[in-house]
Amino acid sequence: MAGKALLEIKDLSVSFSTDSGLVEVVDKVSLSLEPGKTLALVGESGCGKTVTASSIIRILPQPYGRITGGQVLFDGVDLVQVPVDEMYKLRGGVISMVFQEPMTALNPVHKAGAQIEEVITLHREAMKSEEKREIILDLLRKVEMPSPESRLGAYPFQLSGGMRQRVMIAMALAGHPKLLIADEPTTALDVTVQAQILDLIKSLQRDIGMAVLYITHDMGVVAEISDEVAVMYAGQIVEKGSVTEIFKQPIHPYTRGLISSMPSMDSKPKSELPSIKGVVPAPTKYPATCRFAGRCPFAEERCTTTTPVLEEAAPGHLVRCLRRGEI
Amino acid sequence: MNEARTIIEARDLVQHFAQGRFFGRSVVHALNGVSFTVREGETLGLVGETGCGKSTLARAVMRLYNPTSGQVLFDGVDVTRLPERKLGFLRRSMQIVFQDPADSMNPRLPVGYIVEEPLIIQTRMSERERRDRVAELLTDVGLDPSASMRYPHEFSGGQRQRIAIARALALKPRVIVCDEPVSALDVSVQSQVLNLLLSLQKQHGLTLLFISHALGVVRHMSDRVAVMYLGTVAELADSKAIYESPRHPYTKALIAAIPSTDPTARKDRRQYSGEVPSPLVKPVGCPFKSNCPIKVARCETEKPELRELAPGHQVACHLA
Repeated sequence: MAGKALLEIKDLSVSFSTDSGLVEVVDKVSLSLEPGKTLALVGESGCGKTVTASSIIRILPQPYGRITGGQVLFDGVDLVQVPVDEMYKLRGGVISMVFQEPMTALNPVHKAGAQIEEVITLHREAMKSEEKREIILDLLRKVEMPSPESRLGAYPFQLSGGMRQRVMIAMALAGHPKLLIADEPTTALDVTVQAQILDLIKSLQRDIGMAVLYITHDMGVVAEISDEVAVMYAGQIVEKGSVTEIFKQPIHPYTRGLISSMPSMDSKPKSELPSIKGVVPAPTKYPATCRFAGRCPFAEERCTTTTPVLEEAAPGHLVRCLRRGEI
Repeated sequence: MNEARTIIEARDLVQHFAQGRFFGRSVVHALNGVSFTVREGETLGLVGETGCGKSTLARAVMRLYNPTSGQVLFDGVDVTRLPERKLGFLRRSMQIVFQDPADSMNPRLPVGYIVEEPLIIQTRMSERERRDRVAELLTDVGLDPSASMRYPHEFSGGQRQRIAIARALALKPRVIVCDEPVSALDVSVQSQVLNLLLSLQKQHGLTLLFISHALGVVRHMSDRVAVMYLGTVAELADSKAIYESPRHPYTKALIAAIPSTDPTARKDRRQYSGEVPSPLVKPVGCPFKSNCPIKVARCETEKPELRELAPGHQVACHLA
């Protein structure tokens, strides 16, 4: 953590207004990401990882979602305070995002080439359309699109899932981003295509030095792509550290559960898999004390009476657990 | 396992679907000659990419489709051309659990009725017997019998999948087809459902046809694994052999693509970068030829047949 952070999120809280009042879905999340590095944000659906990422570029669903506290410092500027028209310039430009389902993120009635062109028109200096075409082709080649020339005029439905995701990544790269937010970009894809897309993101990152915030629930992908890992549970960060540290010595029982419940290549076939009992509580029912206590195999009485805080267990390794060091 | 009897046998199964009318009428070649057997009590895993025919194969075997050609034998009886009214025994013996339990249940019906419906249609049980059976089934899958009064939306994804499993078990089937049963579930819940399937299989001696694109999950669940590519079986062997000594270049690429769980052991996993050919074009030669790193001239014209390389290890590749 010695270098200067490109992105620094400090105590970010986000709430949604619902029929039953304001519900806090992200609770004082702090993250930092250096240029050229990859931070994986891990957790199950509903834990707040996508909401955290959406808050960075302020695309929370309106009018329900609201940032209720904290700062999002990007290159020293607090994005929470930036006026809306300034945000338009940042989104798709220095910060871009790739979503899980490219079919819903791409516009179905515009051709792939035109959708990439739009980003160039908005975020790059004015240029002739021939020049734009060259840049688009170059981007498509960079994302290893098979026969790029013929894909310029293709509509999203004419492309396979992997090709659509390549178009999304080409669009994301068109504005020369310093930060790429990738929200489960490979979840809807097959393993071989997933491997191709992960390799692509890694090699592009090496070439242009962008930072990547990678959101996923798949610990295998985390091991593959990240430098740093932050594990979220029920709107809070429960563990944070370097990828080697997290996999070698996971401390929080939830992180351990996530890693061990995944069938690995050396588990005994047809044996009982370790699993985490129960389900994630609803945001309206988050307890004031440890939010994982109800599912935790190590929980004891004080877990339901005392509130754990995120504390350093080893240098650079933070854990939110009362029983860290004992279990 | 060898002495176990064969419960399902597919012989050169072909399934085509017509697509479009008038102009641009075309044929989707979903299955192009698939042969395999499933033994009683085992789990056969089916893996392969989206669109390779895994689900079509399972549905053709269940006679939810009418195969274009080839044969399906269930317990020695040829069911390929049986009319629907004679398929009752097959419907009772084979059940299916789908990927998204929210889509496979009527949201307006209470859970009790969802689980009871197969009993109403296929058995002559009295109302009281059916009610007892539903309670027993819900308990078997780890739910409280009081769940029968509630509606599907009141349950989480994992619980809904348990309800779907209870429904599949209602008629005491011999075979359950699990079509991506945990793909829509959260990681921490996935293993609960997998454990449930394993224990039910042991308890009832079930035969499972387990379809998934998650290779780690298939490895964990299966005795044998069939790897499919573009409507054909590329390789079929014991689970251990598939994962530890794959022989088909496509299987090798699949296994190499599995993300490692050890961040210090990152490797260059890229085996090929092509796209799967369209199933609209009738494949000539080896289906994998356009993406194969080791192809030779012969692969362009001659379709490799599935042949036995080692006992129980079948591969469809000229060069294996």
